Amino acid sequence: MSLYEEHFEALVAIGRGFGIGRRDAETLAHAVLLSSIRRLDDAEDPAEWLRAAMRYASSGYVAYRKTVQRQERV
Amino acid sequence: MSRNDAEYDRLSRSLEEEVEAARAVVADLLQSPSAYLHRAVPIAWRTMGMVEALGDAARDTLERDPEKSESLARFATGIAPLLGARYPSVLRAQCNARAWKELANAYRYRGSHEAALRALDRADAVLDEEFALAEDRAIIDLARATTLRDMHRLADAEALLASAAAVFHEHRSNARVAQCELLRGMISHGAKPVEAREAYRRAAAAATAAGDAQTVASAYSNLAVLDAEAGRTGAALDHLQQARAVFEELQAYGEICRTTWAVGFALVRAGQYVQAIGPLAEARRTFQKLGMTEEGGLAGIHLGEAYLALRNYSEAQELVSAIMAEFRQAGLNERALAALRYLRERGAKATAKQAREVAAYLERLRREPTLRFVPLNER
Repeated sequence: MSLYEEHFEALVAIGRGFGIGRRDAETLAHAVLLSSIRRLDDAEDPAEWLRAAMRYASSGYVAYRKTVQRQERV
Repeated sequence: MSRNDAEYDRLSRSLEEEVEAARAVVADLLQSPSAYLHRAVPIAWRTMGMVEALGDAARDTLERDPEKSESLARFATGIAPLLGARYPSVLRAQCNARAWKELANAYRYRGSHEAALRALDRADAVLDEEFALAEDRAIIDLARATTLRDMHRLADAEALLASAAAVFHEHRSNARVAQCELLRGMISHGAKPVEAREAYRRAAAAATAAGDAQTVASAYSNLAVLDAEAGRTGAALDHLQQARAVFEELQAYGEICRTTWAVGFALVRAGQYVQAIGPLAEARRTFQKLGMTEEGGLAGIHLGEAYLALRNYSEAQELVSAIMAEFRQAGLNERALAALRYLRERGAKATAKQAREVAAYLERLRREPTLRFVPLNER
């Protein structure tokens, strides 16, 4: 099993835990995995690195969506 | 294999191949990188691997040759926006931001702090709305905090450092956690020596565990300075020897130079003027070779202080004249020349205290370029 296959669903689940829809969570998980290509060599624990990156990606995305929605209401 | 999985696989392999191919090109570029800055970038060089290889070369030459590092990083920032859509936006942003960060580091090393901050602004802008790149943003924050610390904007540096450190902790990026501890120590160094010592010790331990020799050596070097400032000269020299040994292995000549300067400075402060002359003269020579005129001048003034304390007025005067000529040639701040002229004109009446006063002024002038030199006896 490739690293991508091994972690993809777990990362999507983290995104879903932030209330993000499946499709957007998949897009974020894909971006996190791509971003890890040049990083995982330095990571102490690749799985933990990916989970942390997905948590930050999800919270950033949620904050961004809220800002956009607020602006749309105004 | 899904489409996304296949893309990940393809990119992993192609990036590795690109970096490998680019290393040979960069090895040639290293001879004279500035010569390529104004030429059109060949299509074959417009790859992420090329930007990465240039970034690595800029990082690796930073200590030995900051000017070359700047040219390499500038070249990387020129190629990064030319990367085509064959790379996903997240990778383009990551690569582009890294190039700007390397350029910022080169600017910082050369004392151009405002230019460094502007380069980091560019890095932040390319990372904007790339949600997957939290660690990359933290890396830029750490670079910015380092620059702000150099500019003595300590509160700003501390706030940025705290947020970057939290991100690295969560990613378990231990080498970067160690770098944060080192910077935390440097921020506390002047006003909170106890906190600084603890932070340096944490940095040394974390960096040793992460195999980051550069940070280990920097932590020892800073512990040495703390010891010297507290009058623990023996401990200071021990720590400095440890630092120097690691820096020599790393061929980190700029850092060896700073460490040697710190040894000399600590000896001057401890009143061991004769012993201080060797390290300070060596530091000054190396800074000059590296094209770091301001640092070379400052090391020279500390050397002048030692000469004056030993009543060796002719050496001191000759040295000050040489520093003035270097500053003039480098087009440095006229106010610095005025302070040096004051010292030279004192001739045999110059004192070690006045040399220290001029050195302190030159240090301040780097962050307050409009500051006027007023000798203590005229205030």
